[in-house]
Amino acid sequence: MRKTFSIVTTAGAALLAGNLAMMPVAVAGDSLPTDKECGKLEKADAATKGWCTMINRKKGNCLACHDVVTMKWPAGLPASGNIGPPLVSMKARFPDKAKLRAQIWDATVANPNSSMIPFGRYKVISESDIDNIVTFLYTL
Amino acid sequence: MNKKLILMLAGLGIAFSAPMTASATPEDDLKEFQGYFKKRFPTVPLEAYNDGVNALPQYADRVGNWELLMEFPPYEDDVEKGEKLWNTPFKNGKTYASCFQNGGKGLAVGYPFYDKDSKKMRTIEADINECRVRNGEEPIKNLNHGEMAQLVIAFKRLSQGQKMAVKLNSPEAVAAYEKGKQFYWARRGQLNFSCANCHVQNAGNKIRGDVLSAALGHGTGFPVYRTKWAQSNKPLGTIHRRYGGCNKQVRAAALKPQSDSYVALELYQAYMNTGIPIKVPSQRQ
Repeated sequence: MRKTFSIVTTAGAALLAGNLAMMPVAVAGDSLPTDKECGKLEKADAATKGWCTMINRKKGNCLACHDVVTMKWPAGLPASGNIGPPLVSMKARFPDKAKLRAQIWDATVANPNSSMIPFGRYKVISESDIDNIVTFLYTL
Repeated sequence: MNKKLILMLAGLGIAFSAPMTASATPEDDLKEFQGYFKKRFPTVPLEAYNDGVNALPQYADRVGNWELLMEFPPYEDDVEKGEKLWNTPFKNGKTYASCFQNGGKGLAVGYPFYDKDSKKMRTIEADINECRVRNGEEPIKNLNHGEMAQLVIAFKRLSQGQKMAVKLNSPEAVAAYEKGKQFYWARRGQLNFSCANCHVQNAGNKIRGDVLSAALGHGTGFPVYRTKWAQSNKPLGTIHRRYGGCNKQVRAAALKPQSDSYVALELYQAYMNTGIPIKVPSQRQ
């Protein structure tokens, strides 16, 4: 556990420094689906559905602005942007799940200057999509 | 409701983020705007902002590709066509040059401007079309790409390398400036972005793999040859074509080129570019 944590924080620090080439290499067979693979999934749990919504450019497109710090980054998925903070240790950062959900629903409530899209308020994605994303984020 | 969203002209714009205050004069705005970028990118001289994203240190690892491309620029053919159009006489024997003071030399640095006689903001596109009409020709219909873009390139190249120097010397010009400023800072579309969200607040940051260009200098390289547009065989675009694309990307309705709002936006940007040399055409992604 401790080892994993140090890898993750190192990766996070590297990404924060803007070094996006340093993506952790995915372990074969244990990686998250790519966008294409998401389209072919017949059954998926809430967390996987959340991930799929996040990486879809017409839905969450979260990776446009946020990095997702995970050892399960799928090979072939392009690196993310750095406009928003990296998504890492979400449970520790948002012990209150409702607060995390509210942040996705409309980040301009907590910070009027936020450039984050109000995904819930402007119905960019559905309420259940937001629930699934929260479930996924809690696995990070 | 979900797509083609109504413009959400939340008054939020002006309240958003520091740089602008309600009672500021255009001179104050200019100082603050250019000062912001000087602080954000201390190594980039003001004159370099006409190179768009290529000027930013965050783009340094990719600028080599652009420099290589510039050895044989893809827009040379369009520059020649523009010059030819500019110099070809109308049926009455007159040329475009006859419509402009000093044949148009050095004028582009002052566009757009308010004209007391026509009681309108004048843009280069509008003046080119007016010149055609005055000489018995049909106006050019497409104000986004093609011949109009080529002609604007020819006109602006008569001021190539000269520094932008738009004057706000009438109440009407100041009113249009304020309207453009409001447009720039107001959030719009389903994605709720203002122009400033990306190009002021996040200039130099990465949106997925792309680096966001700085607001400063936007317009000084237009019309541009855009690689994305080249895929549909219409590589040239006027600044209003780009505005329309930006609006669509945030899922707002695009306005028509030469609409009052886009002219006002162009004025605001042109004024913020005071002191930056014209470099036309430019290549953009």
